[in-house]
Amino acid sequence: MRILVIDDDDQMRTLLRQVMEWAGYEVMEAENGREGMQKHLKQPADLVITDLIMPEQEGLETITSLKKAYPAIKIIAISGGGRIGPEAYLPAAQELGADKVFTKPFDVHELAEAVRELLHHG
Amino acid sequence: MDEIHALVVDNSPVIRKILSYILEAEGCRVETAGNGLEALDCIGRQRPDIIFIDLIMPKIDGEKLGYIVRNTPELEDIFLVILSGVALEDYEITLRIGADVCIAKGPMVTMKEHVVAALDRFRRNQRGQTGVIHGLEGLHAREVTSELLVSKKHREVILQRMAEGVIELDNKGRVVMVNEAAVGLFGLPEVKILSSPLVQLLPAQANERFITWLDRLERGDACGPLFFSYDDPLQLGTQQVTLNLVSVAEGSTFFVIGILQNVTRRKVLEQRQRRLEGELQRIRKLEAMSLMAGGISHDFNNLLTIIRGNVEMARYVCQQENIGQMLEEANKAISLATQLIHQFSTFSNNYVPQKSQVYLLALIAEVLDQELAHTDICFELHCKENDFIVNVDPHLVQQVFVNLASNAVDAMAGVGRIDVHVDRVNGNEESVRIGQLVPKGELIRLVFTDSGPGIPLKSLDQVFDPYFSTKQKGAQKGMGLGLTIVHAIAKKHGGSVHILPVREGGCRVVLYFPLHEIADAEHRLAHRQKQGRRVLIIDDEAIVRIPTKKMFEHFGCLVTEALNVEEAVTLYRSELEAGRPFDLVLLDLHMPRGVGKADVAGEILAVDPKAALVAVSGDRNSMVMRRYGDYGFVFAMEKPFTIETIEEVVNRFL
Repeated sequence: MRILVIDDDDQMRTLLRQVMEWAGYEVMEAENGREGMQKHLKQPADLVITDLIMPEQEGLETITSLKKAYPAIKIIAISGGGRIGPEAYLPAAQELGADKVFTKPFDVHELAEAVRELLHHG
Repeated sequence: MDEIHALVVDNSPVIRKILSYILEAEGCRVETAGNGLEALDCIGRQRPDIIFIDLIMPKIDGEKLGYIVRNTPELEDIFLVILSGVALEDYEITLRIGADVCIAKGPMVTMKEHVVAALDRFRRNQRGQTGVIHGLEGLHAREVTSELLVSKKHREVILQRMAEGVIELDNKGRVVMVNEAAVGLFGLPEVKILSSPLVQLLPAQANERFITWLDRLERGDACGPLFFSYDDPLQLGTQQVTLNLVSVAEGSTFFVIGILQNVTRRKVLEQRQRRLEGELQRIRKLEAMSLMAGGISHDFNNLLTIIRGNVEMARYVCQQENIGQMLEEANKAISLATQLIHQFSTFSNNYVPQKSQVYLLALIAEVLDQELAHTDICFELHCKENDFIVNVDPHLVQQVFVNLASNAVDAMAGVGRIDVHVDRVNGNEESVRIGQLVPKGELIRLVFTDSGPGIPLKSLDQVFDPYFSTKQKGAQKGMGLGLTIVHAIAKKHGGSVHILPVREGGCRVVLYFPLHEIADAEHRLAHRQKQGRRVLIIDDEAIVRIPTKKMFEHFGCLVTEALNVEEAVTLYRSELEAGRPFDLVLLDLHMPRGVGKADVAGEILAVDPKAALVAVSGDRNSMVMRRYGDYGFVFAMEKPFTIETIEEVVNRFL
């Protein structure tokens, strides 16, 4: 099982990679949505974890394009709130096709559990 | 008949002597006085049966003395005889006083005759004004005297009408003249003020300075004016008054002129101004903080996520128990930091309350029940209504009462009581009542009172400042934002919060929420109708459309989406025909096929000339965005939207 982590913050990517590797998945990293799409084209991922608030609302855009092109892909969106706060973005992300949303700071165990559920039961 | 006690008041010793001689010959016991003030002293010692008064005298003159006699209940029936040297020049004054007999000063023989006649009238108890001045025959009016009297009259009018209070004191500090304004300030009738020592009229605070000053004048020391200034005014009844006393030399002696100014109004205005400035400063401070809060809470959330994630990972892989414990401690601190930053983020302007309908009293009771569970504090809710259904963010309002309860618990050291009064009030009236800025209109008022020691008066202005505390610093981490957060939450709901001093101790917090946030059954219906405003969003990009839709829905609008122009126009037409027209249409100017722009606006306006169209674009410099009115739009919104822009649009057009 392969997981694609998209976040512009490298510490955040490292954390997510470690958690996912520790949970037994193969992990790819991308700094933004565009790079993520390219990596996914080369090596399809089963699940994408993406930050929502990156420059230019890339998170929402990424979710839309991914779900359009690959309806079966699982997506987890993470938001710490930005200009208008998570409470406006997270429902939007869900509506656009995110399977699960997390607000920062989240519990890594819960995140790992959500990934496991989506991949094995979702 | 008993011996008649007569008082002769005249500043001329010669007249005093002659009159005494005449009256004693008629069997009277005679006392004399050189002016009105001395006369009042004589009257005070023993009430005479008959008084002969000269008009023109220093200190209290004849007219004033007559006025006092006639307007003092225990003196009013004294038989009053005026002996006027200016009877011809001022015929009216002489009669105005209300004397029983008026006699013009003239040749001694004539005067004697009239004085004896007056005494005779007294003996026969013939009282009341005769309207006649005796002894005028053979007298001639003097022009200089007339002119002096006229000019005196004019000055008198000015003196009486001026806004400043004016008093004159003799060299013993007794009042011999007082104008209307000063009478008003002392709050006593003129007859009580005249001849009273000033020390009896001043508040105790002023006496020592005044007596010392007067003593120095008496000893002949040169000394400047005595000034009770604006910074240290006298308290006369409810009024604050400045007093400037100046001594004026007169031969070997002196008299004193005092100017009184009522500064109460100015003081009150100044105080109000200071309070408003303080409040403005507070608002600015919180404004700056809310900007900062938005930025910091975002960055901090990211950092905390990384720290927390790594600590959790480390704990999981760590085999050594002691390190595991350390990480556990670190984790606890992270949880507290998370809570703190979450609270802090409520300051952010970007933090939008998630409103829902809440039973207010039930919510308060629940919070207090929980917060006071392990204390010896009881609480009582007082409200004439069963409950209020309010449209607020329940988590935020809960936070308000958690913070208030937690402050109260600390202040009362866990023992005491809390009272919460809830009612409806009018904001404008409340502003006046508590003297602080309260939102306008109909409000719900929550008064939260504890039985603790209260907040010192001098700290009242500071309690809303972040990290201001009357408690020891650092006792509990994350404390210090309590009331600041309450303030921010009240403000987010269009309300306000105030701390009022309580005379009998304890602390009283008053919260106001606008009543339009309140939905009782009837109100809720109206609210729902208002909420049913329909918005049509025309945009092919889901990424713009969906967050926009969410934001409009957040303000209670019903949103319909259209992905292209044809769909939009058809939809608009069918809804209009069905009697459910859209209240607002958002049109993205950059739709594919280039058919967006002004054409679409034209098409919709052709269907409904009253349609409210808003132009949407990421390019604020385009012609349509800059001159949207020319293209049939009511407004132009630049992408990406903020929740504030949406709110503005909702408020302006819906």
